[in-house]
Amino acid sequence: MKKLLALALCMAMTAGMLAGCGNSVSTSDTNTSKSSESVASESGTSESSYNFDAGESEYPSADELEPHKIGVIWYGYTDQLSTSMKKNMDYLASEFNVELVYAEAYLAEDCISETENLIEAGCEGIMTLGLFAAMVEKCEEAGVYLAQFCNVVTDDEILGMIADSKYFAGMITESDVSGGEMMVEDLYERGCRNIVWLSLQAGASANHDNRVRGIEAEIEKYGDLNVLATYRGTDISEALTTFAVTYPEMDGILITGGDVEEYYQVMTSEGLSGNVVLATFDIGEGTGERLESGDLGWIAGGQAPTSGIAFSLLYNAITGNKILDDLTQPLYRNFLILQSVEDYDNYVKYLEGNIPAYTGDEIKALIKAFNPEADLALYEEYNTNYSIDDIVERHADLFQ
Amino acid sequence: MSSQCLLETKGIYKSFGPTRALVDVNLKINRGEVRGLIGENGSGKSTICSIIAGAQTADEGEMILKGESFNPKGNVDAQMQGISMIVQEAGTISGITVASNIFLGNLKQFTKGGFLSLRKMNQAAKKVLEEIGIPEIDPTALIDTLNFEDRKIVEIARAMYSEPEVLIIDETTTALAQKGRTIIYNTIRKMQEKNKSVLFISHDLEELMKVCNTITVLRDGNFIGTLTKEEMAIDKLRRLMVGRDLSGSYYRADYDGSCDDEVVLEFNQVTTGVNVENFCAKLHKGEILGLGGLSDCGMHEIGRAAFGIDKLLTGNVKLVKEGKNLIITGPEMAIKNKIGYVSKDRDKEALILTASIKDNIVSPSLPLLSKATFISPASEKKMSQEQVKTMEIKCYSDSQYCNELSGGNKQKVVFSKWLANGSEIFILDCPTRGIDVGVKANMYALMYELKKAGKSIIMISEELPELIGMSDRILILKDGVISGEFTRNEVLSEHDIIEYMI
Amino acid sequence: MAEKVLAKEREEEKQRQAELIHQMKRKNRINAIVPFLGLIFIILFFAIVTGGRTVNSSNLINLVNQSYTLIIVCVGAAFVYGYGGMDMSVGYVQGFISVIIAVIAMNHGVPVWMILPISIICGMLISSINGIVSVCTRVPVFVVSLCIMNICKGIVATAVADTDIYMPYSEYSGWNNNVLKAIVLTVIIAAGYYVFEYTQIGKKMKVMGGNITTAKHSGINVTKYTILAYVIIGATVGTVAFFTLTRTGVVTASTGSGLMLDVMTAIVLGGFPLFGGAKAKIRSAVVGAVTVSVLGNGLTIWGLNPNYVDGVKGILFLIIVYISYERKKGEIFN
Repeated sequence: MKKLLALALCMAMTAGMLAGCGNSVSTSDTNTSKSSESVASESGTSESSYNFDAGESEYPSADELEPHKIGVIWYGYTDQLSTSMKKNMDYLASEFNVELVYAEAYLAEDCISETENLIEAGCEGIMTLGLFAAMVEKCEEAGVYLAQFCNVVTDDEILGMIADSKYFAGMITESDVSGGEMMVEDLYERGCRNIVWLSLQAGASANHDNRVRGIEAEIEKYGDLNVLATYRGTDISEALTTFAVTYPEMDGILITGGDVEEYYQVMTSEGLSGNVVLATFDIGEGTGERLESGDLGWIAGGQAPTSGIAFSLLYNAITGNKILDDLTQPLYRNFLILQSVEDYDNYVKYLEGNIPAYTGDEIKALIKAFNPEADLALYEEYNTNYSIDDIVERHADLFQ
Repeated sequence: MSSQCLLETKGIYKSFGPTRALVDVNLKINRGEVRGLIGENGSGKSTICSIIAGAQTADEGEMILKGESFNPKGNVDAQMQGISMIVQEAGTISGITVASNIFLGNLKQFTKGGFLSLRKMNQAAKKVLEEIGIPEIDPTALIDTLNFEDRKIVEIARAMYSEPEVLIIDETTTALAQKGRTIIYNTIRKMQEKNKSVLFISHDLEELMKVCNTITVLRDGNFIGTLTKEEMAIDKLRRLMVGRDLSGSYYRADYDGSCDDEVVLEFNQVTTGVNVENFCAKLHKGEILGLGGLSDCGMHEIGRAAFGIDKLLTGNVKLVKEGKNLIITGPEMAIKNKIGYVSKDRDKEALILTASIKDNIVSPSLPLLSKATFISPASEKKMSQEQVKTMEIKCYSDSQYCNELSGGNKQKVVFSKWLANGSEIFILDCPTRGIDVGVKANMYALMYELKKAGKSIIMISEELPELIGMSDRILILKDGVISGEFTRNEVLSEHDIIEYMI
Repeated sequence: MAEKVLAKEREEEKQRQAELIHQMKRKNRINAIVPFLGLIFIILFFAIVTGGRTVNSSNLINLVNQSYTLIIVCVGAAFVYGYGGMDMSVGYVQGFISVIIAVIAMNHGVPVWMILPISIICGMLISSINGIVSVCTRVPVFVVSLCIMNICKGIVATAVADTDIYMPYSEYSGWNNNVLKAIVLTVIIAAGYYVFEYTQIGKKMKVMGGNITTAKHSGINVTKYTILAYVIIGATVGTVAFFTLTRTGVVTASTGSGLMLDVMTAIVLGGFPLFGGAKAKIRSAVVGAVTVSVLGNGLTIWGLNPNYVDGVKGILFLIIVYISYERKKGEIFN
């Protein structure tokens, strides 16, 4: 009986630990917006596919295209962001007559195994979150194209392998460093002079580390910006509570993301509302209210469409066209930044609704085989123009 | 006469898979009767009792209680209808109080509007405990704070609170010392006085004959016969149980208590954390040294000390081997020097129930079997099959698991462990506890053979007849010190010894 | 008259006994292949649903590569689970070793061939702490290994705090070599099989798993064998740490973190008794490890919609456990 109990306990703990792992992985590496599920339900659309009338197209439709098979190595359904990413990729797959094969992997070992499996499954290209030397090697041997999204490799040896690779299609990610810079800038302009910043422990996530880099660099620029305290660890909410008590003069908070709703609650319970402005990542439930009340000044998110751009890189490669000259240089994309209730309303309408951030035609415009003018410059235009206003401008007519 | 009949079973059949546990068992128990039930292990005694008590259902047959058909849905149901049972294995649930244990599964009577009145329950528990004659147990105490003996008494209380018409006692006394036994005997007497019935199972024939009016014998699930008080005789009962004459005498026949002068094991001022104080004794070559007393007198601890299981507070146990003195430091060292230990708790300490007979037998002999790190399956098989053969262990093969064996056969496996590795000194703690007469006789014969072969034996036992019957010398302990010493002779009786025990 | 009846009954009894022995023997023969049924089923299943893709030669090489680490660790785990212990720390111990050997390899100019022995020795030392602490403090090893796991996790996280440690992949990828791996795998399985099934070490551990008190009373030095079990699993984890590093070329904060769960899953799927004892067999651990890898490999190649993957996985698990567990009639938990 005791042994049974021990077993049950052990299973429960294991499950708990895994759940914990899963969360930290997701929050750290793909900039979760945990509660956008409710965002979706607010806007009344929780279907797993888009639904809009694209009108006439100058590009070939799916049934005119040759079928292709592309593998995706992702972290699985860890959070809402992964769900929107999958929705976006599934949409593009149907637009391009591509069959997607998903494989769940986070650890280096597993990413390599899944690469082997996807090659075996007959994929012509693989898009992956994690990238390791053996993967480049295996794809090279098998003649399968490979692209990385939402993460970038920094190791020189892998970069060296990529540079010489025939089958590497590129890397694309959000610009975390500039995200960090922007949030400091925003708070400074709002008049905040006594700030604190909080983030995950160093090494837990490359994205968060880069945002911290941006924050630190930007703070250097201002002589009269006073950093009261900093925190790096897993218990951000707890640390925030401590700061609230210790530093009554605090007027600005920077957090690199995570469980944003919990931060809102701390702000309310500690009486920070009205006196302190928060800047953070990961759009989710409560974002609208907090933007309205002024507790929240700046919030970044909207990474899901990055997968679509990565998809187009891979599709270009499969159809025999190279976009990037220097494969070791990642493409950087803007975050979507919300600073007002109006921004948030547009975000709900244009990103969480029935229309993707980029329609099939807009992605097809990036494919050299369909649009001979597609080149690196066009990609950069897409990436740096990416903003709420940009989407509103492009898609306003789809709502008529 | 028929109005006298309280409980009757008619043509009960029960099988467990291929094993037939009961075949056409007909029992008739009258009011005021104390019925003994005997049989070898596996003869179906416990099975028929648990069917009557509602814990199992029969495959076939019917039961009649007080003239009406009786089909209990479970043991609580049976208890409500007037049949209570005290079981063989410890049946209390740890972590709750004495009172909760007594009224287990029957809390309704103290519950009002969904709330349990602890006060009422404790009062009722107190009353029951007083009635059976043990007011010193506190009903609010956690059951875990009680010793084994008192826990058993709590079980008696659990069986008695419902004032049953029929009380079934399944081999409970074997686990009890004098105090518990007295309570059971008193309980039985009271039942009899109230014109109710008792069904009493025991391996102890003397006990049965003392307590019961009639004795029913079962063998291999078959009803063999019922003897009245006048017909009872130990030899007859044994013959009926085993189905053949037990050849030779039960205990050893000689009264020669002498042995070699050579000392093989010496206890020097042994004091253990529990009970034993400054125990000194010598075990000689070829001697059977009996250790007796009440169950908490410290004799079990001495057995453990001789095998090096527990740390001693002071003193030591010295092993004399080839003229050299060695101090016992632990079981590993003791086994290396040819000491074997049969624990009194067979299932928990001496055997791996979930392993085969073979694995059990070879377990202390692994270093002997290992040839240049390799233990060949053939050598293991040879060792275990030799033992299965000489010990006549009943099994279909030596790969049969021990939890499928009867108590007697399990004990044979335990003995085999130490015979197989060629032990010279045997420490036997209650070697015949809970095993039937057939195997008992085997064990006694074996011990005598070992003695004659020059092996030395320490036999620790709560049963005086076997101590008297087998030992060359008996040491009686009381509260951890030696209170009497007896050498083997014809006239030694239980009566002579008992006064040194209490 | 009564004597005659009795004699007849005895004769019947004898016949029944003989029949029973025959039944048992037949059952034993069937049981010998039962543990493999789950694996055979899952291989056939994927071969069918993927149209044979999973059983062609290139994928079989993939499978060896993918199951390699798990098989090796499961051989070690058989000793730990066999004696009735448990090891929650395997994964992060692997992470810790990876950090050590990566640092040694990068900074100290140690020749490559020395890295493997260093890795194995580190594994034995670190893992043995589980056993030593548990024996000395009498804290259950489950708890101790949980603590060791956290300590190792912390060390790894600190070590890679600034940046992940990358090994010179090109220098080591030569060691990521199928022939070498096959030899190491064969040697480890053979050695594990021999030690677990045919020597005092394995047999004594099984006795401990069956009943620890009996083990003590049978003269088994349970302290020594407890520690030894962790030394053995440590050696396998050390081996795996080296070969994983030659394959991935990088140490991150999560290196090895999936191993513990994989080992437990393999132990369960292989029909290895979770609390050890006489039924513990190396073969179950190996079969379990291969089954886990075949499952992962097959599910991806099948290309099932991720919405259904977990559900299908659960059903397949249940089927495997159902057909490969030896159950007694009426017994729920074996």
